This record gives sequence, C-alpha cells and structure tokens, in this order.
Amino acid sequence: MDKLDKKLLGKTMSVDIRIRKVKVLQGRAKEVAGKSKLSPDDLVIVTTSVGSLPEYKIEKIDGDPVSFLLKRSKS
Amino acid sequence: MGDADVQPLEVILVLCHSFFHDAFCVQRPVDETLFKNWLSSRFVANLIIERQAELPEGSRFAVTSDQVFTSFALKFHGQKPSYRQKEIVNILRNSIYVINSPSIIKLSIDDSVLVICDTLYSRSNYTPILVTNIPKKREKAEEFYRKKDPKAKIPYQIYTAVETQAYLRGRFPELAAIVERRMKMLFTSS
Repeated sequence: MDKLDKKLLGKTMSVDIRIRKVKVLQGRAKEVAGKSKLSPDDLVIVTTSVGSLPEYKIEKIDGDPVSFLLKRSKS
Repeated sequence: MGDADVQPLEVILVLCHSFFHDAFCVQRPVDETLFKNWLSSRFVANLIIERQAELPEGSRFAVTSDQVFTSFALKFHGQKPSYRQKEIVNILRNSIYVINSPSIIKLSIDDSVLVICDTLYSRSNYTPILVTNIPKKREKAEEFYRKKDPKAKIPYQIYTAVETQAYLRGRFPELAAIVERRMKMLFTSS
C-alpha cells in the first residue's frame, strides 16, 4: 500500500488511493458506495485510510478518468 | 503438452515515456497528427484505467519501468508537487504497474521497457505490446536485439497509440464503447 507523504497528510496513517468500478467493490467499501446514487459501471476513486479499522471514501468520476484526474489535480 | 493445455496469452501494454507525455498533456494540440496522437493516447490511457478498475487486484494490464514513470511524474508535477498532484500520481501507480526491480532500474529509460517486453514475452503467459509515439523506438528495439544476434527480430508488437487504440477496439469492443461514451463528455463539456 502506498504511503503518502506524512507532511502532506498531516498525520501518521497509511492511505491507498485507486480507481475501481462500483460493481467490483465489496464489504464496507460497497456499503459506502451504496449511500450515493451510483451505477455498477461507474468509476470511483476509492481512498482507503488505514488507522485501525480502514475507512473508505468514495468519489465518483464524471466523464473520462484522465480528464477528471487532470481537472482534479488543479482543484 | 498438447494445445489444449496451453493457456491463452493475456495482452499486456508496456508503456513508453512518449505515451505518458501525450496522454496526460493538458493542452489539446492544434496540429492534426499531434491531435490524433494525443486523442489516441488519451483513449488508451482511459481504457487502461477502465480495465484495471475491474480486474482483481494484483492482475496487470499495463506496465512500465520506474524510470519512465518517475520521469513522467516529475514532468507532471515538477519538484514541488501539490497534494492533489501527488494523489493523481499515486492513483496512476495503482492503475499501471511500475517495475522497480534492481535489474530494471539500472538500465537506461529506453532499454528498461525493451527488457520488460522481452521478459514478459519470454517467460510468462503475457503477450506484450510496446506502446510508443516515437517512431525511432522500433530502430532502437532492433539495435537492442541485434547486439547479440544480427539476425534477431523483435518478437513482440510495437504500436503507436493510434495503432494501439485500433487494436484495443477489436480486442475489447465493449470496454472501448464505454471509454468512447465517457470521452464524448470531454468534447461536449469544454
């Protein structure tokens, strides 16, 4: 699992960030995704923060992923 | 071993620096040829992300060397990356397998991808395709093989992004249709 720079993150915690399709999510990540109106084929950015019990953040990708990421990098 | 025992080969894309440069270039090129390269590179990058997003973790669809990826990342975010830029690089690292084994990282940026292709071709159930937008890459690959055997031929395909796009459309028609649909928003929203 990739570790983001602690200075950037501001705390000691492992963070994994990757793009997945909603239909392949399982367990608690799937539950978190279920709270948003998402289709099985939607792409989402899944951020997993591992302290003790992992926490999942789900962000929907609108449009094509490369354009979305490039826009996101400027926000 | 009979033919029935042979596993079908899985396609794996081996990405060169020129591909990353074109796919993640923010500016849409005006020149027609450059625009085609840019659009095809963008399509291929999107399809890689799309496919990797549904593969089981640990399965690979696209790889590159640490030298290539680091060089791209430095050009992308410079020496002082923002939090968001660093996140993007980490996301891409999880969509594209970056090989940083000691035997690869000691090689030049060109040789690293050629060695990856040869290794994948020679000892695994992958059929590699080298993706590059630099025409001279083929000559470099030929030189690479002829160092040891003047009659040696490149055993795998070398495609430009435009050729890779055409190949992927044939190989993954449903996925390609999804990518195309998502990319239409690129032109309708800007």
